[in-house]
Amino acid sequence: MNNSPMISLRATTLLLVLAVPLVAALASPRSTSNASPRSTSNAAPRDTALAASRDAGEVRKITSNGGRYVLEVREPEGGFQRGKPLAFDVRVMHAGDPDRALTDVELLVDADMPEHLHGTNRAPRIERAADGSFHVENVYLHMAGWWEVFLDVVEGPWTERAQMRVIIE
Amino acid sequence: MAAAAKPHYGLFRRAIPDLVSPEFATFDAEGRLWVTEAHTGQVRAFDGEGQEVARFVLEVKPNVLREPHGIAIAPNGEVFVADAFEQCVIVLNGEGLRLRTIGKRGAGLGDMREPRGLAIGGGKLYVADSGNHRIDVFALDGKFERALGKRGYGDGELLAPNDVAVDADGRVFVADLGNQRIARFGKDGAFGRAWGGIGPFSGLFHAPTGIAVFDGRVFVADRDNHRVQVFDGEGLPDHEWGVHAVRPREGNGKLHYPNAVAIAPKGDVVAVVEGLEGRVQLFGDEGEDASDPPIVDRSASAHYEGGCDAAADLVAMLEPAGPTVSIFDMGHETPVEITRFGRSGTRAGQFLVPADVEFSVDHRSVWVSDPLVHRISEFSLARDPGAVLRFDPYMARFARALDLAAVPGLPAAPWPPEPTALELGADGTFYVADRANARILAFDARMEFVRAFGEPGTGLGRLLEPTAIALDGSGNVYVADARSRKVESFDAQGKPRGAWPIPNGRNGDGRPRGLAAAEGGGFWVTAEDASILVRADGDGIPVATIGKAWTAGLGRLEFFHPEGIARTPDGGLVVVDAGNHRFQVLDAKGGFRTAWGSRLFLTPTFETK
Amino acid sequence: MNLRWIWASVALVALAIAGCAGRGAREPAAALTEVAGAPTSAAPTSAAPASAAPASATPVERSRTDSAPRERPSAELVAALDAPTITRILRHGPLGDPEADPTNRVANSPAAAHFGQRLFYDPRLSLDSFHSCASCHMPTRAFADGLELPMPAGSSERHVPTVLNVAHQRWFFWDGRSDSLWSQALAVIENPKELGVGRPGLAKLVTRDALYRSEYRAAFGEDPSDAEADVDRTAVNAVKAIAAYETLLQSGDSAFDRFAAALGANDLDTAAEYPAEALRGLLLFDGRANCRSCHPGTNFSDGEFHSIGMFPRGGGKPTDAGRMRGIDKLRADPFRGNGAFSDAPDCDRALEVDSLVQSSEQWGQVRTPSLRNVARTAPYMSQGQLATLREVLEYYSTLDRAIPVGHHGEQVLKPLHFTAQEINDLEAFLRSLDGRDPPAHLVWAPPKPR
Repeated sequence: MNNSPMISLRATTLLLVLAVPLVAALASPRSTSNASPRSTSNAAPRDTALAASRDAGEVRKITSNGGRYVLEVREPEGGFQRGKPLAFDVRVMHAGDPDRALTDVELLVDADMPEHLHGTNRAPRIERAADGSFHVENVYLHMAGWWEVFLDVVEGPWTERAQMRVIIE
Repeated sequence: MAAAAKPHYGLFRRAIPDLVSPEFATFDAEGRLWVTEAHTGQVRAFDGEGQEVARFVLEVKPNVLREPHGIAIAPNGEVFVADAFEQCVIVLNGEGLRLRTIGKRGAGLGDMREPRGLAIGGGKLYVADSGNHRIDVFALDGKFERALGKRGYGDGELLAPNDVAVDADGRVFVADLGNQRIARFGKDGAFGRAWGGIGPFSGLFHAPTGIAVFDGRVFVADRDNHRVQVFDGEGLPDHEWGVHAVRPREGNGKLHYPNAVAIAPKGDVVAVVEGLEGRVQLFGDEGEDASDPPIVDRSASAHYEGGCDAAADLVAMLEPAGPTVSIFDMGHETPVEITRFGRSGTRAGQFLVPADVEFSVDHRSVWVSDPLVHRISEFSLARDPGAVLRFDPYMARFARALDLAAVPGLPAAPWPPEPTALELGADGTFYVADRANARILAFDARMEFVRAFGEPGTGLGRLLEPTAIALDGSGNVYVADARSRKVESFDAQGKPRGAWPIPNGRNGDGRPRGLAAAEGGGFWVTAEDASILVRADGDGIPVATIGKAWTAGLGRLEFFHPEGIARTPDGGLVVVDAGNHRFQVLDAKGGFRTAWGSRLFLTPTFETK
Repeated sequence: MNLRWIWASVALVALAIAGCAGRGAREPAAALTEVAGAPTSAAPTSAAPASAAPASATPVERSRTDSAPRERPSAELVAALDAPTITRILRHGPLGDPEADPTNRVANSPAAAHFGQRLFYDPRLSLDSFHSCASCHMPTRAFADGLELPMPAGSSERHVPTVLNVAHQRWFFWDGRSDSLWSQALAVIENPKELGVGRPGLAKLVTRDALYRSEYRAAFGEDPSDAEADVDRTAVNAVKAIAAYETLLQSGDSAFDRFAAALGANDLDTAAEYPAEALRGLLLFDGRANCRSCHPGTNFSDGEFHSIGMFPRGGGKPTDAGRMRGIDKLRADPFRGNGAFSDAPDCDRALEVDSLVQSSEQWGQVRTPSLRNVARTAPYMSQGQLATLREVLEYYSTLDRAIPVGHHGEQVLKPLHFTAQEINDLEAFLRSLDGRDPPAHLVWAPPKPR
């Protein structure tokens, strides 16, 4: 059973991937070519990795994976840290109109550990401020390692994801 | 173990083989087993020795078969059968004569859509109304009384309930398939409790499709975990049985996708229905030799099902039970899996049961349909074709999702769209099959809704169960309609062009499942029930057949319940050979090129010839 | 006033003050900045073999000591530590103080702790008047019981964890079904298979026993009462006192902590006294083996829940649903942090229960145990399946007998394939986490005043 061609290949490739240091994975080139309207997703920049030790309150601009939105994330005080509820602020703009915060979209927040196939054990809370920005609380990253923080913008029938890569020490 | 004296089932007694798509079963008061065959329109009865004692063919009209699912027998001997063809329950007498019809297709109270399992208890009929996400309760004379549950994920809510059972106290137990759990309602209809969740461990489920209660215990056909789990009425696990059949056609007590369960009136026999394998296995008390089966490891299987797609040197396959999507690089001697993604859940970026997958025009992303959450989702593929070939678990990233239930401008319909088949034209027109409302939705390249065509029914331009879409070079749209057993064609504006049955190798019509435009006109289609691949010309005339009809073939170019197909850029075909846990790749002439999947299902392929 | 009681209180207060003061002194942040901010041009950029790194290449200036030549087994390894590695190490120690529990207003009250200490050792808390908290949390066995499963057989299907450093945890029991130390203690007293005397019995005991009555009054400023309407309040106060006592059962200052403190203070000579194999084990722990992923921080636990595929005791299929059920039980617990008996039901800590995410992924997950004093708390795992540290390390090395994840599942843990040397090193490191015992006056029932 273990000699299944598919399985053995999968095992080998997985081991290969595991052997590659995380930094290499982070640095791996991601396509940013011009995409047709059918696959706007590739318009997203891939260098959204955040260092946990970044200065508190720094503002980070992220383009959503479908290219429709630009998000400004004011990072948590003290940066993204392990094992404490984190709070940060998010403004959502259309990519074509990056100066005006959208007031008619919803924001959903979640976090995930791709290498561990699980997410966070707490549900984040999101509050909307009068100026249309979102205050996100209770983002709880309990493990050390690679997290993806998902910022899903809901506008009409569409949900489009922006994501931040966060390495927790 | 409060129930120490109760049987611990799992002892294999005998099989009733050679059934076609058995769906549900029940025992009558005399201990005879009644089985429905969804794809032959038959209800068959067997005695305790497994000998057939009765058989009814259910037709709407001559040569138009019903699609029987759930079955229940009233104390007076009347046989109640859920019919998915007309979306109702029909009541037969002991000779198979139709006495009356209960319910009709619709979303209102007393109506139903996709009725599945039935139960009778306390003088009531309970219908697992899968398409309306509720349990319908009728008096046995057909008078509607009430509905239990509504669509949702919370307490008291249901998602595509597939079966129902009622105990001696009038408590109602529901196989809440979409939510991967069992829900219990009280005699008064109030929600009691629910238990489950997706997973392989005790008390978790992977597609709980069938349910029965007996002597205070709840029996659940845990289909994709290949086992039956037994609980007390509060959901506490009691025992389970079912060793996963990992070799092709393995039986003799081993289980493969058990989808329904029934218990004999004396409690001495449990019938386990395995639709895919076309059999029912009967089990008794294991007594003192009782032991729970092991958890099957990942290495046992690959479960390619549903739709697929091919573009450039890539192939996309679905494992709906995962639920995951796999992407293969085909530029090598054998397919090489380069990424796999998907997680079970109802949030954006997660899947419940994905149905089809479609590459974008530039194949830098893939779309996935997930009917139970009304959603199609796009995942970007950050693939560098020049990079070293390796498995990259992080290549795919969720980009965006479209909630079809919230799309403005869609023509009013009774149900939110349930997207199954996806097909993208070279001009960017995106076609989505809406299973719930039996229609095709077309979007432009900006994903703005353009038009809908097709409507429920059986005449020209009407659909019952659209399962696949294909486009030819002239912009014509072909739709495989499994339930009405035809391929329907429309022009680019949605005007009907023709409807063609496909052969099933037995002088009847096959159930089309997968569809792809053929090189030089016409189309390829899989007849899922007959396990063959058919090519038809531009007039819908069959011109070639591949595979051995009605034979669970394991060799090259043999199939077992083939599902989706897709044309490769060089004119070849990819075929999801679902029942064989593999996919096969054909060249432009229909010759075998390669296959990929579980080793035990591949080895015979490579040994043949 | 009883003189002995006063002395004990003074001692406890002094201890608490010392603890607070010590926290400031040991705060690693300043040292951390210094190390991290040191010029990196001369720093080794990777964990190169120690022999290849000359002493002069250390990123920080060596401090000098006047003591006679001491053995410095890991001098070369210490010299080769680069700034990021040091930063990582300093995240593990020293231990520091636990996070406050506002749901227990007497969590840091010496009077309550004194009262709680007496209760902890009192067999009258059990139905058979034979077992106390200390019967399973034995001071002589590092506040565990050294057994796979507790005695008497059948009292629990889960292994007894130590209560040393227990106040550093966020959730209690293996499945985290309690969110405070006091509600954990109450659950054991309520459970007829464990202590079982229940709230009425506990209230009766502290109300009718004169000594308890006075200690209760000292701690809570009121008299206990076992009247029906007062039972819950009295019993809850009593378990909050037990929690106050358990909060004092801290055991830091391990060889590792001394190493980390020295490293944080740039005292590399002292740091180099840490055994070389332990340091190699630590580097492996934070490095390739990635143990720190689930065992981070000063308590070597992320405080959350994981499944490592551990085979069940006695073989067969796993049956313990772990955290998935634990959340159900926590939500149903009237004594949870945001319940009526909490002293701060609206505090952030208490409200966490409302934001917990529950899913079937949590089936079989158990709380990540702290690794402090781990060498003294064999056997291991939630059912005591593994007898020795070596067996634990060998399990992670091979994943032998690990339960399958199901044929649709994805295996996350991979065998780490340790060499014999690596297992030795990791074991040496884990042994270096043995802390000092709590002070002698805390490890038995306080003497009765005459």
